This record gives sequence, structure tokens and C-alpha cells, in this order.
Amino acid sequence: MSQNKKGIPSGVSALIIIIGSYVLMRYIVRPPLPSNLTNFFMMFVLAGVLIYITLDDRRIDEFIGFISLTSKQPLVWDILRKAVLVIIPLFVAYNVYSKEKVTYSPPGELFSPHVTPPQWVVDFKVPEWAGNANKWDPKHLEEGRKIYEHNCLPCHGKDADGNGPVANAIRYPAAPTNFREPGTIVQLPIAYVFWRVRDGGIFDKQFNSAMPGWGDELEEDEMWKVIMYSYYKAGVKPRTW
Amino acid sequence: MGGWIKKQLILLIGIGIAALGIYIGAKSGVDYKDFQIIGSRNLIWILAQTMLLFAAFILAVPVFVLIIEVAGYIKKDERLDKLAKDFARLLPVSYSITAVLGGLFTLATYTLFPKFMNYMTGVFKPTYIVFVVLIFLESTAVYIYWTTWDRLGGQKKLQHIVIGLILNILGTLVMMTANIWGSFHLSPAGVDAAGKLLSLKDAIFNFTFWPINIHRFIANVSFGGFICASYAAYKYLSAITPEERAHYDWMGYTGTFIGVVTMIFLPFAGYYFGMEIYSFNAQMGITFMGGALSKIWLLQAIVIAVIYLGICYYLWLGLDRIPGSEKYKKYVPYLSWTMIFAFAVWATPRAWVASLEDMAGGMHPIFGTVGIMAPKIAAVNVAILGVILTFLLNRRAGRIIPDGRKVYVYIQWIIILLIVAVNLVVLYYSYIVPSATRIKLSIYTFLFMVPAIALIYLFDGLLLKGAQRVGEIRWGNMAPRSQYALIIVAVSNVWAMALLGYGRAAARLNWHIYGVLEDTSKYAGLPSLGDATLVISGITLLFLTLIGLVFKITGEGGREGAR
Repeated sequence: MSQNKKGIPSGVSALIIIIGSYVLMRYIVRPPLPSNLTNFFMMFVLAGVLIYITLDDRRIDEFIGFISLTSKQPLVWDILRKAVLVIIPLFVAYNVYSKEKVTYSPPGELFSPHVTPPQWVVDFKVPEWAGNANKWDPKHLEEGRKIYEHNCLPCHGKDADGNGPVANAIRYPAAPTNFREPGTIVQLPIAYVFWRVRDGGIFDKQFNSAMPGWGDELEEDEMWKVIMYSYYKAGVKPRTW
Repeated sequence: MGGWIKKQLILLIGIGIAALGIYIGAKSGVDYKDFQIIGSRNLIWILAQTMLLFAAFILAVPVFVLIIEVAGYIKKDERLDKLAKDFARLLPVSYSITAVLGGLFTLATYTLFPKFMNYMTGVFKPTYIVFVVLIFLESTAVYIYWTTWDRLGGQKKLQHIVIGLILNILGTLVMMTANIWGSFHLSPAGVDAAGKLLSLKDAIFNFTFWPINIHRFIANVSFGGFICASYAAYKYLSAITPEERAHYDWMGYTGTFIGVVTMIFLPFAGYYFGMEIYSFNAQMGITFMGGALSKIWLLQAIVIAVIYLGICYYLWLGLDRIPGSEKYKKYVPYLSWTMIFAFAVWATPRAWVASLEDMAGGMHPIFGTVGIMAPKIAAVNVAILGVILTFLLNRRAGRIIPDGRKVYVYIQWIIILLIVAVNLVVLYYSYIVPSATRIKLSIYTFLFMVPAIALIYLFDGLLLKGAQRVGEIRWGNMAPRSQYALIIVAVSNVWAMALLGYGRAAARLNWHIYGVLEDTSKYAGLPSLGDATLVISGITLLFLTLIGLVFKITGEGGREGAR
């Protein structure tokens, strides 16, 4: 029977990779990956293991011998493979139980962070003093800072990282945006952000967030200034269409 | 002449059914009609996509049949000529099925969506006439090309090649004519706000006309290669003699090679298509890439991962039939895990299903860094490099490299490392530059990669020129699971084509013709992604059943060829 150099049967290597990947995603990476996403990535891990095992005829035989308990193994591996044969059905049973158990959680929601803007946003004429990030007036940014700290900081945080004092209270289904993340405001034209600030996400079903609309609270100029400050604070610039 | 009339009869039936549809549509007097049980939209969707898949196949096969035939002619290799003929064997029946499907599709659309289709007739009548003439000529060219294969051999081979060339030109023109209509639906031009035609030329050469032409041409050839490879796999699995197995093993390898070589160019065509969509309408661009349809790209990444890994798996197993390949096999696990990792990066979503239990609000720091486009482009390039290296392993395995040529190996390594380095630098900058610059960077990276890959192969050619083999390749000695991998690749390819076909059509949202003619039927809204994938899977099954029929009908002739 062929085993690799270290004498570890391929069945054990496969187990180490599978269990190790799961533990890494759920218990070592912080914050842990959501469980359904972990399952998604586990699909890749399983594919990798399957490819590895089936690349070689001898490895297939060895693997089948190992899991079907027909090959002779040292005591440690023998105990391990028998344990796995018990653990797998238990694991499946636990999953079935978890799925069927009555819970009071709302159903999972799939959402897109960047939904399609209405036509007026695409055609919107941004005021000249706000349109070009290289020519932003420090006075405007200072005014923006005051508005930001007064209205936005509780959720979006002092450092524009989406980690304000109340952020944790409103994480479901959409957490406050972290402006420093490369996938948020830096990917958006400034008119798009203006639309989000003006209209918010409470009444727009596609956003499903707790972001209030500021159109009634702030003047248009003030909204531009706070947007400019958000970009400035996050250290990024808006994109063009 | 009698045979020609018989063959054209099916095409004429197809055209007749289509003409009947146009007549019914013109006389209809209503905007919409429904279709029982599955609904009018699903019916049109299924017919259109299945027809397009066949159309892709019959466009693709003549392209590489001609290339193989020319290669056989130049190298004076009878085997290549036989192989080309074996691929071409699939053509006549496929043409007939496409003609019937085209007729049914036209009948159904004009009957069920008369307002929309009558408008199309009004704008594009001249192109309809051109289309009918072209398919008639193309069908005739197929008939002549196929029936004269043996007669125009030997000294007259050049004449046969010219017929093949004419067939390919006609096929491409047919595809381009049909693309006029599809691209106009997506990005209309040459009409005013009320839809009145101002310039037919502008309507034809609209924003997405050329991107769709290029994208479809490349994708079709790739798709054709993989379908032919699956045909070879099917024949391999049902082969009786070792000679048959050897022939179909080689045929599967060639089909896969054609599929992969063309597929490598697809991302570039995709970026160009995407850029033109943004240029036409930024709103549509966002819907497509970041909004309602963004999850399509996740599914696409998974399907492409299956295709790439399936191909590589087939090639890795193929090393077993090359004597002296043992020393290269040890690299395979590293290659496979690198590719798996690259695909996991590509498939990482920007946002995910939010559940209260996870308390992550559908967001996670990993999504923000890995879920966006920047690392995905590098990941795709790494995956492409994985395929290139796999092919290199296949070429290199079992060859005795002549003395003094080691320098070519070092040069190849330098180029490979340079590709990796360029991708890492671009990856770094992709995070810090604006999106528009990032998209341009991705195109430059690709433009760098293509000549770099070509250079790798050039030096490989120099390295292996005249190199002896440890032993002959044992064609026909493949594990059956490798052939199933080829079939999985073909199935995934069909699914990917149908998925992206849906994506392109769905980008129009509630418009028949974007911004010009609104869909006011009860099917105006998009289906959920779950419902859409069900229809896509149904289309895949239907296509595979029909192409299976083609395999079955043409199978017996192929067996004679192999013998």
C-alpha cells in the first residue's frame, strides 16, 4: 500500500485539509465567516481534495481502502477513521436538526450594496466646487466635518470605518458602511453617494438598511459638504461614471 | 442536385415557419398573447437560447475544421484530414436542427409578442432579407463542403479549402446579421425617442454591435471545441477497439485544446463588452455588474471554475499516457490547489446572505477586500496561467531535452515570474486607483499576458524542436473518469452560455428595446435568480438531449472514420 513520505495516508491528509479549512474559517479568522459562506468555500476545499485523491489510481485505491476499513492501518489512524465514520453521520444529523429546528430569526436576506441608480442620478449635474476632488476647499471640508460628527458619526464612526458607537445595534440586515473599504464609496461616482445620502435606505426596499434619508434635514450644499468630508476622512476619492 | 434539394428542404421548412410567424404577427392586432402552462416569456427564452446554442455550434465547427484541414494539407498528414472530417460530420444534422429551431422561435415570438416584433420588422426589414439569402448560401456551402470532402482530396484539396473558407465567411456574416438585432435590443441607436427610425446604419452599428460580434465569435469557437471534445469522450467511452479509443482520445484532446486556446481570450472580449455597456448607459452597467444582476457573476465564476478545473483535471490525468511523465506529475497537486485558491477568490461575493445569527449584516471584512474586482482580475490571470502551465507539462512530459537548451527553460521561468510580478503590482495598484483606471489596468495586464504567453510557447517550441520522446504517447490509455471530466466541461459550458445569455437579456430590465420600447406584458419584471437558473438548467438539458441526438445519428459514420 502506498503512502506519502511522512507515512500519513491520503485519507488522513484529506481529513486534515477539510477539518482544518473549516476550523480556520469559523474559529480562527476574526470575525468568523458567516456559516453559509463557509459552506460555500468548503465546496472549493472538497473539490480540491477530490481532485487530489483521484489524480492517481493508486491513491484512489489507498483512499478507498482507508475509508472502507479494508486496508491495514496503524492503531492511531485506525481509531481516527472509525471515529470519522461515526462523526460524519452525526454531523449530517446535527445539520438536519439545525435546519429543521424552529427559530425566531428572520429569514436570510440577499442584498446588493450597489443597486442601479435612477436616471436622474446618472444625469445629475454635480456643483463645480464639489465635483473635482482635487479642488475641494478646506473650508467646505471643515463644515462637512461638523455635519458629519453631528449626524453620521454614531453609525459610520469617527474614522469613517463603519464602526460608530451605535453601529453594532443595527448590523442586520445591512451594517453601516465602512467608507475605508475598497468596495464602498471609492467605487461610486459622487452623484450616486448624493442619492444615497438624500434618500436613505429605510424606505427603499432594495437597500434594506437603517440609513435615514437626509433630504429633509440638510440643505443640498450641506449634503455635498458631508459627502466630501466622508471621502476626505476615508482617504479616498470618488470615481467618475 | 437531388441531395442538395433534400437538404435545403428542411431549411425551407424553417424559413416557411418563420414567414408564417411574421404574417401572423402582422395580422395579430394585439400587443401580447400568452402561452399556456410555461408562459410566453419562458417559451421564447427556451427556444431562443436553444437555437443560439446550436447556432454557436454550427458557426464554430467549420472554423476549426478548416484550421485542422489546412494544417493537414500543409503537413501532408492524412490523420489530421480524417480528424477534420470527423468533426465536420456533426455539421449537416446540426444545421437542420438549427433551421427548425429558428423557424419555431420566429413563429413563437411574432405570435406571442407581435407589438415588439412588428416594430423590429419595421426597422430591420432589409436585414431580414439579407439574413435569409445568407443562410441559404451558407446551407448550400455546408452541403458542398461536406459532400465533396473525398472527391476534392489530393491534388484538388486546395479547392476544398476555398469552399471551407467561403463557408466560414458566410457563417460569420450570418452571426453578425443576427447580432444586429440582439445588440439593438440592448443598446439601440439610429432611432428617436418615439422609436422612429432615423438611420439604419446607426441602428446596425450600435454601441454593442462589435463587442457582441467579437465576444460571440470567440465564445462560440471555444464552446464548439468543448462540445466536440465531449462527443469524442462519448465515442471513447463507447469504443470497442483500441484503434477507436486512440482516435477518439486524440480527438478529445484536440477539441479541448481548441476550446482552451480560444477561451483564454474571452475575458478580454468580456471587458471590452462591459466597457461599451458603460459607455452606452452607466445605469445599465451598474445593473449588470453591481446591482440586480451582480450575483450572476458569482455563478459564472463557479461554472468557469468547473470548466477550467475540468480541463486541467483531464490534462493532468492525460500525463499517465505519456511515458516519462512521472517527474512532472509531482507538480500537479501544487498547481491544482493554486487554481482552486484563485477560483475561490474569484467566486467570493461582495455581499452575502445576511442572517441574524451571523450578525455580519451580509458583510464581512473579507468581502470588502476579496469580493471586489481588483483581486478577481489577478485571480483569473493566475487561473489562466495554471491552464498554460498544465499544457506546458503535457508538451514537456516524456521528452528528452537536448543538451545546451536548458537556457530556454530559464527564459520561460523568467517570463512566468514576470507575469506573476506584473499581476501582483497591478493587484496592489488596483486597490488604490480609481475604478476607471483599474479597468484600464486590467486590459493592459491582459495585453501584456498574451504576448508573454506566446513567448513562453515560442521558447517551448525552440526547446523541444526535434526532442526525442522516452516512448510514444499511448493514445487511448486514459482513465474513463478523464472522459467524464470532458463531458462535465461541456455541460458547464452550455450552462454558462445560457446563464450569460440570460444576463445580457436581463440587463434590459423591463424593456424590449432599452429606453425605446417598454415591455408592458405581465412578464415585464425579472424572474428571481433561482427561477432563472431553473430555466437555464432546463435549456441545458434540452440542448444536450438534442446534441446527443446529433451524436447518435452521426455516430455510425464516425466509427467507420476511426477504423
